Amino acid sequence: MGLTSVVVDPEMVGRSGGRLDTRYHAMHRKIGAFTAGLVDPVPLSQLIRGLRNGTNVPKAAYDDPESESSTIYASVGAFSSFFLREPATTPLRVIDDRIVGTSHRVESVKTSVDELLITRSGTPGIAWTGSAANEREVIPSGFMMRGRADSEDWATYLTAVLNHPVWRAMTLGLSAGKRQDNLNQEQLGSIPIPSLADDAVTSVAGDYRALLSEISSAFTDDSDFRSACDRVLNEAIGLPFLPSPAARLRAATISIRDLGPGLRLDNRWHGPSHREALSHLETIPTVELRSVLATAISKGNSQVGSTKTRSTVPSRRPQPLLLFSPGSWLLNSFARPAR
Amino acid sequence: MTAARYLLDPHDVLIAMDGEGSLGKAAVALADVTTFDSHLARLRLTDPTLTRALALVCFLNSSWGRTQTDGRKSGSTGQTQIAPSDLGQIRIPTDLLASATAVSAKFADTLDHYEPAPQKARRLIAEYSAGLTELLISRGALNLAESVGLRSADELRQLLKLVYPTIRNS
Repeated sequence: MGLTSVVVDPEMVGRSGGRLDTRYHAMHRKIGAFTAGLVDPVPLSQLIRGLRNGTNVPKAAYDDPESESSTIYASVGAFSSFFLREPATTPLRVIDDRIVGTSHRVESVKTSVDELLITRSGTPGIAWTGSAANEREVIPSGFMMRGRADSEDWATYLTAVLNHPVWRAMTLGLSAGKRQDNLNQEQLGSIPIPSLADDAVTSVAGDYRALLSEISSAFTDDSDFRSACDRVLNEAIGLPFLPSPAARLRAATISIRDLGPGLRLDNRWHGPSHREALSHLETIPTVELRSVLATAISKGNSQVGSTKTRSTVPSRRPQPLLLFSPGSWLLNSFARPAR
Repeated sequence: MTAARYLLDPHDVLIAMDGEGSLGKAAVALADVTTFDSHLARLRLTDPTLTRALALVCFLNSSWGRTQTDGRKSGSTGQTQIAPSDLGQIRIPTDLLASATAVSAKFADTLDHYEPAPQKARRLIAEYSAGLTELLISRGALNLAESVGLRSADELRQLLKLVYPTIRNS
């Protein structure tokens, strides 16, 4: 149930540092009884040192997205699912250990294994540890906060705690912003961390590393929806898996006979992936999509359902449409006529 | 303008016509429940059966379909779109139409069991965190009455739905 009212009394205002925003109190109401049960918790600020924001890097330093640069720039989106999604990072150009266009040496701004990183903007509060980096040097962006723990295990333990849903709700509640949620260093430093002995910290850290590995494997290419459809087509009608093109670049020869109104000269049309697909489809019987349609392809209109519509039928507003989610392919399970 | 022009019939296919990353994604309407906006196009099939619609949606969402929609899109990065005339020229294997029953059955089964990776990540975090909660209790770092809740993985998943308030949680 959503928050319907906030009763402001001096005691509550004092306890919450003067926060009056509904989300703060809604989250506190959800998790307050849980966090009240923490026995002698320690503020995060006492467990990490050198808390600071990440590094801002100009676009001039960005390398080709397909580059295999050993240095990558990671921001909030790369951590949204708790592990570092390298495809969501940006390779950086580095010359003599210096990031191009900056005075930063990679050695001085890269993450270390005992480091804790936390998203501070957009989707604030997601934690990651430098110990989970693979072989590439990770440079966290200015939208991240970073600080060092006593050890690799402690950094991983803190990460595990901060990503616990109760602590995610806590950081979400603490964050605030007019257009974009932000979490500041003071708010982050005040977060209570459960007190555990070193042996338990090591145990938690080990289990968390295994969890990150499992989450990472869930994002492998063959688990996405496109691949799932590929498997269906392969099993049902023997359509082969579309091979990856051998090269990213290809020379396209345009014959003089091709010149005409329908000639495509854009790189996407002539791109290796598209040509690979068309080449194979030319070897099997196919029809054009329009040949299986009863009417012309019709785009929608966002104005339908507005009060300005002069319609003889009951108007219905376009509904938010999510194309892929378990169950959501049943459109009527999530899209309802406007009341 | 009449709303009737933009209403959906059961088994119409909807396809995203623009949006980086979204362009080409397709879905089936199962009831005439709504209209659709200008970012989508409606494909009304000559054979308006659920079987045919599901088979077509499976193909459009596969690498074969998405590669063709990507290859036919136009516009600059971030503002790409596909024209209805280009969409209409996408090649469909005739085997897909002939074996629509087999394809749609497998596709429906896949949809029933498919768990998007971000949802799986949240489920795994919730399951792990439930174990972490128990460890904190057993080590005396957390004193939690049974009435407080938020101990089971399912309760923690529900809490994550508040943190990520999106339809993708459904």
